[in-house]
Amino acid sequence: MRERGFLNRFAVFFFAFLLFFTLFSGSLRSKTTPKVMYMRVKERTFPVTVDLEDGGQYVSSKRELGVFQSALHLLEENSLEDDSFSDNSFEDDAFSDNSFFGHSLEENSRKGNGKTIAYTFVLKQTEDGYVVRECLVELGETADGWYEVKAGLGKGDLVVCDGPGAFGWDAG
Amino acid sequence: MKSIKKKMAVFLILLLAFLFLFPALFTLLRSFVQSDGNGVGFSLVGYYDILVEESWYLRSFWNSVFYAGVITLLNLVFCIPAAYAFREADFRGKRVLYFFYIILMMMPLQVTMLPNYIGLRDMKLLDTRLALVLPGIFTPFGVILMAQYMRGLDASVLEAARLETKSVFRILFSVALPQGKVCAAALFLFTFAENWNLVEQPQIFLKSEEKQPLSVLLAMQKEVDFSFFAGSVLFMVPVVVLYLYFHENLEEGLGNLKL
Repeated sequence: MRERGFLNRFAVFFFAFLLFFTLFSGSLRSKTTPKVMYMRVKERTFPVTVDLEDGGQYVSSKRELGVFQSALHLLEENSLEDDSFSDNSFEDDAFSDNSFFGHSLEENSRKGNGKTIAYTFVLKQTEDGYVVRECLVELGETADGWYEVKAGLGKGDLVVCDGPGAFGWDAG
Repeated sequence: MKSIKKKMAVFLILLLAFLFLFPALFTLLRSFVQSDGNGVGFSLVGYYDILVEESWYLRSFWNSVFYAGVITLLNLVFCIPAAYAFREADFRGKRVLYFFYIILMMMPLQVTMLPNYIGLRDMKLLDTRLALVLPGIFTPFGVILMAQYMRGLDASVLEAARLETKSVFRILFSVALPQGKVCAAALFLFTFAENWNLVEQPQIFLKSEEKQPLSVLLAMQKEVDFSFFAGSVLFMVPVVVLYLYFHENLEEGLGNLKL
């Protein structure tokens, strides 16, 4: 009889324990998940400089998608050989030429056939919530710390600009 | 000489008991042990993974509770009156019907699965929870087990009950069932354990992953890590608790069967 009393209590505790996790595992998971700060990719105003025939320069402006420099990261040597970049939305000769890897964005802009390439992290919504994916970006003009996005990102994409260091990048 | 034989028998029994218990003990120990580059140590990471990170685990656990619980209870609801009918009712073809029950019980699961599948398909019940529940509640095993036990009931007590009331169900639930509750408890345990471990039927009758019981999803796990062992331990608990709860009834119920 004592054995059955213990089993009753154990069974109640066991099912209550599992019911607790069934009801609250979602909030527990979100509390223990690393938090990141993100910004939406949206249109910004970038300067356009046109060289005139008389040697002068004409400066105008254009509205293009922009991303802040804190969300961009330098490419490391041979990083493009990793499969994780294979689903990138654009292909370019610059990616097969590793000559610009390991240099600053400014240097890359000179070495990568005049193209500035960086990588960033984008939040993608999945069935299990948001996940962080790596993404290559081709950049254009700069203005006040913002880089024009020529390819690799779309309007409304959520770009990670700060995180708990869980992704192994050097911020900045 | 007698003492040596006894010691040998005890040793053999202990050895067999250990061999049977070893997989369960290994699973239990492995669920608390995590090995990484730093060595081997005690860890609850497996339990954390399945209870917090893996949302499918608890969902399918409750699916298993639902299937095993509902099928077992409904099985008893249908088997006990059917068994009582075999003992008390006198109708033409009773022996032939009982014989067919035995034949049906002897058939392997795979043989009855196809007719069940066709029936469920025609009733448009495939990929619904009823696809598992309906075939599960009408099983010949429960009827035969209860019928065999009820054969051993005291006829004079039932005769006396018939003088008191004409209600068959009243006699069944007030007189016959209390005498046969140990067998009903054994049947409960058998049926629950069988339906807790369903694998083939859900794989064939259910397509949606969210309706699958835990037994199927655990069997489909490709990576056997500490969270797999933790999941297996929690999966074992309900059946072990039920066994400990009903083991006396099980022994008594099976011991009193009139074969």
